[in-house]
Amino acid sequence: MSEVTIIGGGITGVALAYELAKRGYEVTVLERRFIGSGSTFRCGTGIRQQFGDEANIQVMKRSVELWKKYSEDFGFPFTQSGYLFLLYSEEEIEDFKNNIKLQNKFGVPTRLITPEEAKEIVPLLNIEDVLAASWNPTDGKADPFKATMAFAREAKELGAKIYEYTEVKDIVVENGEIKGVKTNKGFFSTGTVVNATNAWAKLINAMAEVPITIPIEPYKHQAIITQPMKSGQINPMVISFKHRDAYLTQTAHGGIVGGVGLEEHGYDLTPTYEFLKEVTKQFIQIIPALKDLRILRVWAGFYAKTPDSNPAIGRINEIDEYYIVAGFSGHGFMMAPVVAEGVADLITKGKTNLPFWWYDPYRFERGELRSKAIQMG
Amino acid sequence: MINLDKIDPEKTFICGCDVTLKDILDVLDEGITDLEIIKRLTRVGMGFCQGRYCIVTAAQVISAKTGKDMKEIKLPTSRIPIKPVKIKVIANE
Ligand SMILES: Cc1cc2nc3c(=O)[nH]c(=O)nc-3n(C[C@H](O)[C@H](O)[C@H](O)COP(=O)(O)OP(=O)(O)OC[C@H]3O[C@@H](n4cnc5c(N)ncnc54)[C@H](O)[C@@H]3O)c2cc1C
Repeated sequence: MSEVTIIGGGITGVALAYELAKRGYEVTVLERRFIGSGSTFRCGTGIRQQFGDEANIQVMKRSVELWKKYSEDFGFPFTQSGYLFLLYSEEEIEDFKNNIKLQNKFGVPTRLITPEEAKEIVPLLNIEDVLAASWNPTDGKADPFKATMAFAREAKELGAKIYEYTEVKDIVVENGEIKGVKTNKGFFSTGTVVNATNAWAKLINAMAEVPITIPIEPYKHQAIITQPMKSGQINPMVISFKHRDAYLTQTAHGGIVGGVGLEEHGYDLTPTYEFLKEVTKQFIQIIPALKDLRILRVWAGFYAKTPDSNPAIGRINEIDEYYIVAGFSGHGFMMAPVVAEGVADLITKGKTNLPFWWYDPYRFERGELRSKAIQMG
Repeated sequence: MINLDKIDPEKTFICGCDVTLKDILDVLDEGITDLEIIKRLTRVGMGFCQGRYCIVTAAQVISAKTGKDMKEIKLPTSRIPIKPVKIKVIANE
């Protein structure tokens, strides 16, 4: 018998397990394959506070504080190497000016810089058509493998149980009360279930017969990594919406990781030649020197998208006790520490000080979509 | 079967990308025995050879240390491109 059972061992699930174990809860994580095998180990590593609405800016500001704290406490790589959005039109600049004003209001030090200043930050940049850039030096990136495994290790040390290769097949609910979950490894009895399966969330919601509509759909997104180049050349995450929502950065090992926004609905994960063509074409326009690098790997993962690109986080009132924490729409890695903190407070105290109302899972049913969260790739 | 006692873990390279036997043993010591995760923490199989040369060696080390049968150790998915290819070649530059 576990007080709380988390379905899904991605960064969301294991970070939440850590936060709950820290609060003295008995917690179990059930993961179908190995930790991180869903989308977490396939992500682009980026962590930013540059959003266009008050809720996400405040939430991500707290997340960056936590990334800093936990990377130091647990010893995994996190660097504040910044996010650089390249802007190519007056409209884009107007939009970003508004975002920057909002970000500054909450203490995120983003500013508009000239193309020449951008080139000082990333000397390899092609600034030919760049009119300005939005630059926040306190955004950053983290190693998804080491970070996720660190949260898992710390959770286990505090008594959390993590079962890998354990697939949830059904959720047993009697008279609106959760009794337990059925898996390929047997029955786990529990009173509280957290659905942290992101791209697979709708399947788990169906097992629990969640009575409201929470539209979260899987979309295949691909990424590449190149051979290493000399370190320190592309420190920030570089973004260009003009180049098919491209994002790219250099990893600690020197390789360039990134992708473009070519997506396909459904659960297929086959990498495509079409993507490879598109990503190479766009990348060399942003940074021409990349053309001589060799591509080592192409892979695919899922964006679990909602109609407004904001996650669905909260308690489902009709089921005693069921929480949904999914639908991260391509930015769930960066949110994981703050989501874990906020959801742990929701479960243990019934409330959080963070503006999680923005992620209310009932908003779809009520037709109250949020302004679309900034998304790339 | 490799006899791990006879070799110096710090001087023995598992692959051409600077991953040593010690790197792998350190992760195994933490209780992590899944090749999928060992790959990502040590980066064995993530370099130029795409694991062609090193991933089976890594699997053998896991087998020797944990007693897991080689048959039970699933090798990670091979990813395209099979051989590293220059960006300009694909972009037709
Ligand atoms: C190419 C790409 C680039 C990205 N770049 C970024 C980025 O730069 N920054 C960022 O913040 N985000 C990025 N993302 C998004 C990020 O990867 C996800 O939002 C994040 O990993 C979600 O974590 P999670 O733990 O919620 O989900 P996941 O990591 O997907 O974990 C869910 C887990 O649930 C498990 N599961 C599913 N069904 C069951 C079942 N029935 N029983 C048991 N377990 C089950 C799965 O196996 C999976 O491991 C990117 C995604 C992709 C694909």
